[in-house]
Amino acid sequence: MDGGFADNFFNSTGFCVKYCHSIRVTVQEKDLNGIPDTQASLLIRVKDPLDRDAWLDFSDIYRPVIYRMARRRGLQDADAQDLTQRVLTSVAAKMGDWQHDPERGRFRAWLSTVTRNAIIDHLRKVKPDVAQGGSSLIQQLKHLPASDEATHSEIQRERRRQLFRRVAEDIRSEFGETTWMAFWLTAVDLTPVADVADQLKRSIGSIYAARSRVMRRLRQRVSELEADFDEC
Amino acid sequence: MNAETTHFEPGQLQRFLDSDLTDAEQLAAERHLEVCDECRQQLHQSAADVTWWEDASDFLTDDEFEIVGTASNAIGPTAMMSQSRQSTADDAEADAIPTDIRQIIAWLDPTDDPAMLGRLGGYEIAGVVSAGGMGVVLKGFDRSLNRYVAIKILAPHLATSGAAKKRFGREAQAAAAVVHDNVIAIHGVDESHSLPYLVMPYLRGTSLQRRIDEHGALSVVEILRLGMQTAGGLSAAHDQGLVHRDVKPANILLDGTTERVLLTDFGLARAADDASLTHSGVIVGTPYFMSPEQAEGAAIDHRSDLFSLGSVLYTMCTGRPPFRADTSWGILRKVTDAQPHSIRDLNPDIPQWLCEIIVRLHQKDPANRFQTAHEVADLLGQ
Repeated sequence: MDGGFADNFFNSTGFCVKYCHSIRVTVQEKDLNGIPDTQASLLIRVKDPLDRDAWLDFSDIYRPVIYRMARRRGLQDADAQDLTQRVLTSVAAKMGDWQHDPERGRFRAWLSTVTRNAIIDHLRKVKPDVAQGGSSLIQQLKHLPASDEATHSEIQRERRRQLFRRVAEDIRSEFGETTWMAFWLTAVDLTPVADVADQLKRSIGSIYAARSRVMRRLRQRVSELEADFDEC
Repeated sequence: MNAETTHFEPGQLQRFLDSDLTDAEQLAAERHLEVCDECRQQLHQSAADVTWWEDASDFLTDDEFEIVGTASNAIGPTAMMSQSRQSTADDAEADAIPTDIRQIIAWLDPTDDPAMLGRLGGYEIAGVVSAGGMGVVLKGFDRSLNRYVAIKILAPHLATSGAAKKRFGREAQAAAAVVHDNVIAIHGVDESHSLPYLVMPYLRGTSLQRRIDEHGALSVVEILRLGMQTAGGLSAAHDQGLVHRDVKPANILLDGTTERVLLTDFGLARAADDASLTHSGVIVGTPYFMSPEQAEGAAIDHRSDLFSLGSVLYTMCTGRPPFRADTSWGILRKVTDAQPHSIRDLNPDIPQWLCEIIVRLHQKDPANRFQTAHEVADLLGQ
């Protein structure tokens, strides 16, 4: 389909498609290790190679957490990316304060606490210093600040979201195609079980079995990881 | 054993989840699940309690705040879903179709024509042209008039905002009343299953944005021709009391063969504002072409469009927007406070008098700009 005309035509109301794209490109450029370069630059701060892996793991989870929270407070994509980067940079800078402990989980817990404080700190500053008055786009950014308590539980919920996603990726290969589909279509997309049974040409009972098995595995892995990330 | 009546025993449920039953037991258990709601509940409960089920649906579904550019994003849940879909033959078509578009398709009325995706109002839907933050554009076929049309539908998540819906309808009606060679015609505005949509001609061509992306700055003759037509289209809308609010190269379409300017998306930015205020807290749009009064949230009138027109002309002259910064905030601040870099430093081919027109359009105070688009169209047409 020739959509040249209409592509642009739609983008005109889409979310700053053109220019955000060019901003994103810098984030997506990868170095030789396949790590987006912004992450790579954070890595340089982390001297110990063991800690590097831990840090990568850690920032993978927290990056979308911070980004989402920023977006929810009205920041546009580029600004949210920017804030995310600043929070993670400030956390990475603190990593030198860490006293090495053989137990990797403790490192994450400590880092989670540092990150929580950095997020609260940075989000508190999300108050644009622009002219008053009117009911503009800018106005909506001047929302009342959430309490630190609320921000804390928001962080936990967002982190849980990322852990679900991480685990879903990880355990995907442990299940057969149909089992995974049965889970995804019914539990995530919320398609009625009977319809999915039809579509996958399986019995209703086997759909229930499949979705429950995947769910149990998901719960087990998320619970483990969550304990690992829990703040000290 | 009678599958219909024999419930699971406690240990059996666990073994069932572990796939630790004999084939016969397994089969019987599945047959029992066909009919027994009680055991289904127990099975679910022992897999994970209800908050987990709710979270799974909530967390694994993409929402409007997906971050782009992280390693994990590339193999996110959606990608996993498309991978798993590929293997089912009858779903092959749906593979590449993102969720929001699938939603729209699902929401079309069925059609008898196998070549079409579905029906919407009186139109046969032939395909999805594009999708973005605000909605989806479909390619439709109007049987009664034997022509293709572009149908723009407000995204379902925006349609939940009553204010946005009303605004979408009202602005579209107003835009439909503007009849001018340089304003895209609107065939109709309607609503189906409570999603509002508007119908426009389906055209081949490009946009000014794409033209500039591909060729950089334009020639003076081109700038004057496109600038005059854009100002002409704006003046027709302003005469009707309609402010565009989102004049930018992406909204200036260049019709296929003649490259006639067609302005599109009148007032829709406003519908998006309403939706974002009441719904998601997201700002829709890019601030590159905003006026200072828009950036400050002050009241705006048609002269706001003239500032934006100045920015469009500037972009045609230099190949880049006048106010640039790394963040949206930076851009907004420059729009309100800074003077753009001199055009002739960037492109000496631009005559001084054209630069002066743009400088006049870029006055921060609307009272110091040209007062009507007519004036600008006349000046550029001379």
